[in-house]
Amino acid sequence: MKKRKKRPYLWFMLPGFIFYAIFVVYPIISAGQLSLYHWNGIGEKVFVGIQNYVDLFSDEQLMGEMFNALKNSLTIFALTVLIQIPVQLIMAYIIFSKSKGSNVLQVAIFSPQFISTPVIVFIFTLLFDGNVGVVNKVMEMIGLGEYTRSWLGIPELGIYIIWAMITWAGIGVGMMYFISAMKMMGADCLESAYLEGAGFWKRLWYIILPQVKMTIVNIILIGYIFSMTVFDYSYIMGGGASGGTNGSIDVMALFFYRMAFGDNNPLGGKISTNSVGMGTTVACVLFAMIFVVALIQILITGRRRKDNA
Amino acid sequence: MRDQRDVMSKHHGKVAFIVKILLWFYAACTMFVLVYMTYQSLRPRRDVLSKTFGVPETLNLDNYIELFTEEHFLRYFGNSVLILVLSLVLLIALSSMTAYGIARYRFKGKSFCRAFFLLGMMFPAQLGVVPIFQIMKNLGLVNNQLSVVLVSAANISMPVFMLTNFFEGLPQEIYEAAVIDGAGEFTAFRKVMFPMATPVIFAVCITNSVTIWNQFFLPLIFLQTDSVKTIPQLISKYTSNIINSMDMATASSALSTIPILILFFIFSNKILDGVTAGAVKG
Amino acid sequence: MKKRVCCTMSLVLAASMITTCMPAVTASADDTVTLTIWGDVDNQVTLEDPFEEINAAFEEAHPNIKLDYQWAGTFDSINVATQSDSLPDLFWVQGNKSDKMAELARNGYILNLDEYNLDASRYNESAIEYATVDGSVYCSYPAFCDYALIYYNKDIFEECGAEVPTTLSEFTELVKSFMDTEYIPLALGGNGEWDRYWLIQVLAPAVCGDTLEQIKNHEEIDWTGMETLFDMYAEYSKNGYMGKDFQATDGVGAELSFTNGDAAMLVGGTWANSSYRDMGFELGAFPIMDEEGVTYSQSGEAQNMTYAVSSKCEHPDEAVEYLRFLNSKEAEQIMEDYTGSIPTVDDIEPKDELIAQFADFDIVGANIYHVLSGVSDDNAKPQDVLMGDVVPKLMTGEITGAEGVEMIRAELEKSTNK
Repeated sequence: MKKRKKRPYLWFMLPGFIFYAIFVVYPIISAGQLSLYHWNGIGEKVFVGIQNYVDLFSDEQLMGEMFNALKNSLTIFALTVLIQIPVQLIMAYIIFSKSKGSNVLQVAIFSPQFISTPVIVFIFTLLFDGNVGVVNKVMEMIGLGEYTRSWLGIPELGIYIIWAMITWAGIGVGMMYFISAMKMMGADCLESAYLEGAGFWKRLWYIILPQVKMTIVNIILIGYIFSMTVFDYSYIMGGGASGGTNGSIDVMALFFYRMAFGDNNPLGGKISTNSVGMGTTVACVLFAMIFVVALIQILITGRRRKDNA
Repeated sequence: MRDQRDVMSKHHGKVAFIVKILLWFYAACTMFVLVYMTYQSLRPRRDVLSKTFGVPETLNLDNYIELFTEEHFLRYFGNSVLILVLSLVLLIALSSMTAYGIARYRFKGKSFCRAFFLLGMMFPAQLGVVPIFQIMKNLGLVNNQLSVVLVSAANISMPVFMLTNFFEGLPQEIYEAAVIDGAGEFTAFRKVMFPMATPVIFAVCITNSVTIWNQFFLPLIFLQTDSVKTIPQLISKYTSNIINSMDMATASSALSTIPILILFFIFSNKILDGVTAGAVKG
Repeated sequence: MKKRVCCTMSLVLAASMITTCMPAVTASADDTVTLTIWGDVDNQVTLEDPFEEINAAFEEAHPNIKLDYQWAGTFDSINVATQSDSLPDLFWVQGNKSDKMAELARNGYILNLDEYNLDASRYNESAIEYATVDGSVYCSYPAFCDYALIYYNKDIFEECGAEVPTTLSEFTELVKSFMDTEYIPLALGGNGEWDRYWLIQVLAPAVCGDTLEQIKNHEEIDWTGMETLFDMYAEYSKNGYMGKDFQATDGVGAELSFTNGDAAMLVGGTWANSSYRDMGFELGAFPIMDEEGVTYSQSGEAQNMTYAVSSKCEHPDEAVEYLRFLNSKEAEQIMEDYTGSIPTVDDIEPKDELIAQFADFDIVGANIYHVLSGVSDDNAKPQDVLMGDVVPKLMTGEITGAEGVEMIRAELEKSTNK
């Protein structure tokens, strides 16, 4: 009992805190510091104060690129919330309710997680390519030959294709969280609901949903953070950090990468004299955008928790 | 458990039936993609490139044999497994304790702590790597798998976030009952609360193991010798010029995916049977 | 209780410390020196075998030097190593293809090789320029080059009675003639910044060599050539010479259509020649030519054997010895035999017929991307305008050649170092 006076929560948090502070927080602070310099990582490091931030927000070109990237990132987020999360929820519900073969379903749905991104993109090429893709071959076979296209590269579809790949690869994660949330409640309340005559959808709506609403809120936040930081699909699809034709697949993290590391390309090229400075500046802005939303979310859920109590 | 299945899966109605059909169709598509990838990995490169859609000349394990004999696939696999296991153990230990500390107790700055531990998710990892590299250099851990383990295990934002929400949702009585039984704070955590979190920890393990298993940037920076490199580094060696080495790319990708899926299949089977669902009920 | 967990944890950690491979011990014997070298990770697949043999040959010739050759050099890892002061003894560099090496040299991160007097007699002017920053040499000389050209399927050519063209208009006619067949005349990936660019690079020296020369030398610029080039590209795209839906096909897709025998020709790079061999048809290649029939490559040194020495290297003499070896005929011939690169040094024996063909062009033309990035600065980046704005918009028909030229010209105006 003495321990409780010694603030046991501190002891619980300490090991995590130490690791976290060294490997996560310290680098963030150090990056924040770098954003105050004009520097390319190699040459002379000049302190410029908040000039990088001023430049970022006053340069039309940079702002244009950033807004476009932000728009695309938010598109991914919106699609995630409107389509992916409901689908995940239904998937989780069906697997949770143990209909026949739910194990196979679960593994099949989750499995793309383990395939590395470049291979996913390559497989999509093999499937959807204009000349040698399976999809077009099937369409030709069933007489839809005239509608065949090079599906992956249609610029208007760019960001949706990126989203489709992300979803296909990642849909299992949220599903796992929903399943685990559903497991937290006993089967008996479902059972009684069933005995009372509640159908499949009613049970989902009135019993499951309230149970997992915290999880939904969390997954929305995670989805937001993810859509702001997703990078590799656009990088690989666009063949570099350019962001595709007219920036059609540009996203925030890619914009950051382009600023910080340049457009590493087969022919070499110029590196900006301020790559590290501007790169860290973009990263800090990105960070702020996520932080504010996360903070609001925490405050809201924190208040709700208190209300409920 | 039998009863539960019966009760929950019967009489789902027509719409539910259609939804299920759609789900199975989706799963079948995914399985098809996996099978297609595996199928392509059984063909010689030339055959895939020149008759991508045609009848295969031969199907054999040559690509796999080459991976094992000449490309030391097992060594990369071992490194990845080592990093994965150590990181996960450490990560779960750190994050569950931290989350429990935040969730279980009332103290000033609780909200701040929640937000604080979220910071790690909001920052592109590429940027923070130079200071970390310097730390690792001083610790003499560059070119050692432990460097990747430490950094991966410190990435506790998401697990802490999920687990905090879980622990806060637990009824106070369980905790009090444990303490009244004479357990100390830590015993209460270890013997009562931690086991109860198993479903969440399971979910955290699964999702984080994917992240850790697939991570590319950290190993790229910290692991330089071929003998300490991981599977994603091996795969990227082939994918950086995929036309030239797509046989190896698909084979290594299949080989790094399928064993895990089998494990996952066995593992999830157990968990799905609801070993833990009862604990919360009581 | 906590103690026990802590103990277990530290035990696990300690155990893992022991089981994980500790870094190899450095110089063991008294006078043996170990050099750490970082190779080019992105090209590990192609370079692994030649470097194994090169390094073995080097160690045999220099028993007192041991090489620890690691595939660890990427843009990112070299950046991190630079900023944390832990560059390896030797590492792969891109020479003058980017200004990275120049920056490293000017800030004292890599060793000035002037006093070691590397033998430059076998190399041409542009190879020497590649290794030079501000008049001093900083890396080994490149012995190979790469350029973009036209691959063709000899079987399809035979079937359609087509001939390798001798002038530029013949080339356009040839491409056009395939429109009546089931084949894609000239495969190119339109979806991908670099994929769609290669046709511009191929055509540039033949169509607007003069304009590029003037830009490079900061002379009065006659833009007509460049306008012709841009119009030509837009017309090719509009007429569908690169295949139905080419704008949506990526580079890999274009390559797959060529290897599958669906395309008569492919715009590609010499660096990828091994990808297209042995695909069940006879592979041919020709460099682009102008109206007079003069054939052009584009300047571009290969980075496969160019290495720099870190200024912190403790054994600079031995490290330079390695560079000397890379610049020997022996090492270069090993590289050639494995990779089939295009030698720019006379005494290297080309790997085979096709490589000999590659080396058989009349003039090393200008590389449009290098020319534009060569005159860029922090205010003006014409190469980015070309890649990010002009080429995609020409492709979609959004702008005309004249408008494209205007965009490049306007960007050059912003430059401060005119």
